[in-house]
Amino acid sequence: MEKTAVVDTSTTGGVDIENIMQKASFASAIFSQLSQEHTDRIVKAVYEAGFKNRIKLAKMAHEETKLGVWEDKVIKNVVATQFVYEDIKNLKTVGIISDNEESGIIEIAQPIGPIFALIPVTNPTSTVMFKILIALKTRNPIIISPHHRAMKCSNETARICYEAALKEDAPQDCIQWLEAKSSEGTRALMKHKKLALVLATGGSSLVGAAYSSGTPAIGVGPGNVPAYIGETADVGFAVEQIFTSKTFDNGTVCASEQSIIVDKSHADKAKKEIEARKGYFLSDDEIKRVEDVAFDKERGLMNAAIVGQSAAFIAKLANIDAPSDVRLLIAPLKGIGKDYPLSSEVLAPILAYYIANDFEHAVNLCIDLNFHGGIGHTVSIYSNDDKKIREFASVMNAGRIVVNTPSSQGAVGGLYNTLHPSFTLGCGSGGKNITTDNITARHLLNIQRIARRRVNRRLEKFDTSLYLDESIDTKTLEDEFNRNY
Amino acid sequence: MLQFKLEDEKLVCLFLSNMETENCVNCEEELFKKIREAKLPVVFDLKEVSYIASMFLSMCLMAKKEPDVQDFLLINVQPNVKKVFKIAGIDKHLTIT
Repeated sequence: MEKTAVVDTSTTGGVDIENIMQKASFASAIFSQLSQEHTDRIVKAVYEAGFKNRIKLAKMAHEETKLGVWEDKVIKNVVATQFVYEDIKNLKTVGIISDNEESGIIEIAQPIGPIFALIPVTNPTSTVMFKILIALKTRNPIIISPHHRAMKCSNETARICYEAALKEDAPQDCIQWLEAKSSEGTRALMKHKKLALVLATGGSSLVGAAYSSGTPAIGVGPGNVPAYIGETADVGFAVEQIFTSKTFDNGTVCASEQSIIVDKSHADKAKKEIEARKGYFLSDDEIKRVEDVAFDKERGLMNAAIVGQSAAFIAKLANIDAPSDVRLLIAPLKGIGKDYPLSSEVLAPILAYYIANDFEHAVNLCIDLNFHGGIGHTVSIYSNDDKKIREFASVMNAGRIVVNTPSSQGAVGGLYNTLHPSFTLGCGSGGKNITTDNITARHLLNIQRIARRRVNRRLEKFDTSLYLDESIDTKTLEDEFNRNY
Repeated sequence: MLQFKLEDEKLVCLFLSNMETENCVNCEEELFKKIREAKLPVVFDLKEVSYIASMFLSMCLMAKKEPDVQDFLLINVQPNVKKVFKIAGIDKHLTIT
């Protein structure tokens, strides 16, 4: 049997689409016959192989992309394997998954078919393992499309998973990966009639292309996460959590904090706590210099050269005389929007910083930040006042409102809360996505419903000819319909 | 695992077990030897088969493409196996009853 699924790249911009899709269709067909027990054996083997290689793959990712911190990438790989596996291992994904005698509804899980998975450069091995696990758990073949700057590590991850799957008699070509990349090939694959779904994690243009392909797509949106330290917050704790989150993998997680909003009553303490943890407050002049290196003002986007780099590296690039052990660059800003580039999403250890006069002022700042490029994603609050937490949540447009939690790890789920561990965070309609859920195996199933006869008891006793009588008003019809019910 | 018989000037290949990869590997050589020798229309009888591996799909396509095979037919295909041919998208290239 073939031991790898290397794709012939002789046509269509370097990608042999027909060959890939034929193999995927065959794998899909064979998958349809697998039992839950067989499926679970495959998933377990793939999890174990990915987990075993977590360090090797993290180092490969760091070396190839030059982004982030390899030790943190190990943690990402752990979440993508151990935590994801724990979350999905007992999930029923084959055959009858629920049977409700009273409602008469029986649900049957069916695979959706071949999935095309776009992988971001920021999580090039963890996202591969995560998507492969949820695809295999739902008996769907998957085609991995690595980022062009992370092809080696992403494809090695896919290869390791595929070998492990084959050892448990998984369908041949159930995992494929692209060895050559071209935008023509990617777009053509996304449009292919045999493709069931594009699982798009990446930048806005790629996610937009996935949505425009005509194939169903699950995408993500950009984040711009405000972290509000409220009046009742434990300030030292909050600052520590924010440092844990924002320095993680040098800020490459899209759910990482982009700004801190501190209640005025805590301003002095917060500053001291930040400085004690090697946070460096930028002067107005230094903010301008960081903006110049961190932000591409013409395109209105963060500069790729500083994504995932350390605070010391960025300070040096901006010609700022910060301590060599600086961990975060803090930019006290006077406003939000395009005139204040550091109020936008920057996937690096840079944080905008605001002092709020009171709760209302803080919430207004957070709303402005939330709606400045991060609609639907994630917001963060540190508070011990449940009423304020609920009030805050109700006016934010965010799929995840993480409370007293480092936002990067909190939004991804599984570590600090019971959200489903995921490397694809839905951002709802605000992020142009179909859901605000943390995407997981449940989203990769077609659910059939056997609907047994259960006639509405009110309808049985109701004279339906009354519907044809225009002289009877709505209230009377409703009363009649509900009589003795 | 595999029996052959001649019926109405056709070579009928009766598969007696599920066609997992291992079984496909074990019978492939004998199967194609018989097909090439017979130079007749070929029938795969899948009455006893309730699971097929990817390799069996490939074997069906290969049998169909054999130069001396005038006609190729799959018979007694169980519904769950028929669905496999449908999902793979090769039902249009084969005659399945």
